[in-house]
Amino acid sequence: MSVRSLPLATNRPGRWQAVQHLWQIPEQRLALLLLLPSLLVVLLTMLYPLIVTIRMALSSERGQFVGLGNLTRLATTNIFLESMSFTLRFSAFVVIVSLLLGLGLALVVNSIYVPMKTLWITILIIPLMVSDIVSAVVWRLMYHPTIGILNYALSLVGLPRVDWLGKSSTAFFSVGIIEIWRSAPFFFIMLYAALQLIPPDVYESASVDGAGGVRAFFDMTLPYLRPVMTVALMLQFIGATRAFGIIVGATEGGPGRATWTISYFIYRYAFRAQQMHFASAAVLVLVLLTIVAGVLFFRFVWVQRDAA
Amino acid sequence: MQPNASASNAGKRALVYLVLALALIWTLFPIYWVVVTSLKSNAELAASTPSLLPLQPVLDGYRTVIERGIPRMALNSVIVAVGTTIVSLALAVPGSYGLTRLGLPRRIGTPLALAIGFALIFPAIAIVVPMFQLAVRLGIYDQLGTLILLNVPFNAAFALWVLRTVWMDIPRNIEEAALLDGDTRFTAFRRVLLPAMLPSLIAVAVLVFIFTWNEFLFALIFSTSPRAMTLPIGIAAQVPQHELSWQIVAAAGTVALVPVVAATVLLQRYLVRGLTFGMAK
Repeated sequence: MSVRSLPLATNRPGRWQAVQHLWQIPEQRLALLLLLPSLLVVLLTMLYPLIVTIRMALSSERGQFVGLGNLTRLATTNIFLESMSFTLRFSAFVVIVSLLLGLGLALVVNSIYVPMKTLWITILIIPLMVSDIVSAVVWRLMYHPTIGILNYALSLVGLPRVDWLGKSSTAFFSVGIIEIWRSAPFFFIMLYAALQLIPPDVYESASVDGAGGVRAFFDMTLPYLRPVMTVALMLQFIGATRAFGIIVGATEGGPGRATWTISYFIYRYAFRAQQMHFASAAVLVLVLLTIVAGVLFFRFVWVQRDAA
Repeated sequence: MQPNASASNAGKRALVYLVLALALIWTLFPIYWVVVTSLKSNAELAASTPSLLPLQPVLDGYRTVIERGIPRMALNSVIVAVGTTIVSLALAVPGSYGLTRLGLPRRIGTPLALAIGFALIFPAIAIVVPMFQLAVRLGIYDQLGTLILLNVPFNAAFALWVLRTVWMDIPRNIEEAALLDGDTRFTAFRRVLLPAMLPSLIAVAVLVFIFTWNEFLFALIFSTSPRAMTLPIGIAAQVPQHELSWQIVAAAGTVALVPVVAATVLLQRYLVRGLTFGMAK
């Protein structure tokens, strides 16, 4: 069997030959022509900067070739490692809490006790549309050490004031909560949509069996939600690792450098410290991580779409 | 039925309403607070007891915001967002049609779709340095058109990705019937397919508009003068450092929030479809 399939496999025309072949068919030539402008715009926007970035990352700020010098310097630069660590911890915190909040709200709004579901959906997705900079500024106002409403609320119950964004011990959670405010509605709407796709007979057979409540959720609801949950988790995790506007708006990286994300690190080094070549090395690391994430991500999305 | 079923239902109902009440405060209070703050005076802001309603609403914040050129920045934002939306859809509508409805074999279509989909997770910060140098060299730095050029690829990729799933849900035979009736591909597209996908098209257009309206990174790096600065940059610049005049940044923030909240409320049904990548019907 393997003897027969081997020559077939090698005779299989490559992708390029397949494209040439498609070109002979008018309909498929039209398909490629319609797709070409988008493809060019999107690919050039990623590839041209990538090539320039690789070239810059391999040379010093004065343009001399330094090989992997910038990358080894990066590996020993504490603030880069701290920015990486902050970005990953921050993103993990944000997506986990957002998932739990979004899932809880989706189940609540989906329950039979909630009238006017459309109205609730409309209200609950509003933060999703609010920009990072406006969210950051609004929360910064609420977190304000002297005139902020949160500290006023604490004072009402006799607790001391907290410098929410001004201390590294609380800044992590305070910035995280801003991002959760914007991120949880995405989980809510994705999971709510997924709940609508569960066939009702799943529950009918369950109620005959007498299963209900928590067990029904883990046995029946969760398996249906899992693919959507995975997609939402990965999308939001990748999105959270890109946090930039929220940092500029809420803390400007502070206190000290406690809330530097990768994007903020690249911005500061490239445009404030004028070390574009060193910053390019960090970009390269980020792009490599994105490619890894992309391979994992499209595995899941693609598998799900094909199965559907 | 268990005898205590109705009692436990009442308990569940109470719990559900409690969760909804908390969710309502959590979601809307920050938005309410920015609007209220924008109407407060300096004296009221500095008060040790923040009032939940502006005691004497004043428009000082809005007056300052107008003096500081926020209307021009809002106009710039509209131009960039409208331009990006038009160009992105002009690319994505034919692109997604070609990708899904002309019988492109999977082995060609899948890698092309994945290449475009990769742009959805590609970090915007990764293109900023090379594009900055290019824009300076080409003499197109600090121009609205440049911001449109930077925003288009990511939004066209998003639009194409969502519209792809929309096309796949429109039955192929309605197009074939039109072709048999003597339509050309183009007239069939306009007469039959476009109306079928119009709601999704509106959703994608509004989402692209909002994404661009909110965009911060490109605007921060590629604009330095009022002729190209957009609203998010104007808002970030109004954050008070030591004084307490938060009504100014709150007023600028309210200006940015109004179209976004209005669009969400008016077009909720369409937006949900786009946001869930076509999953919600």
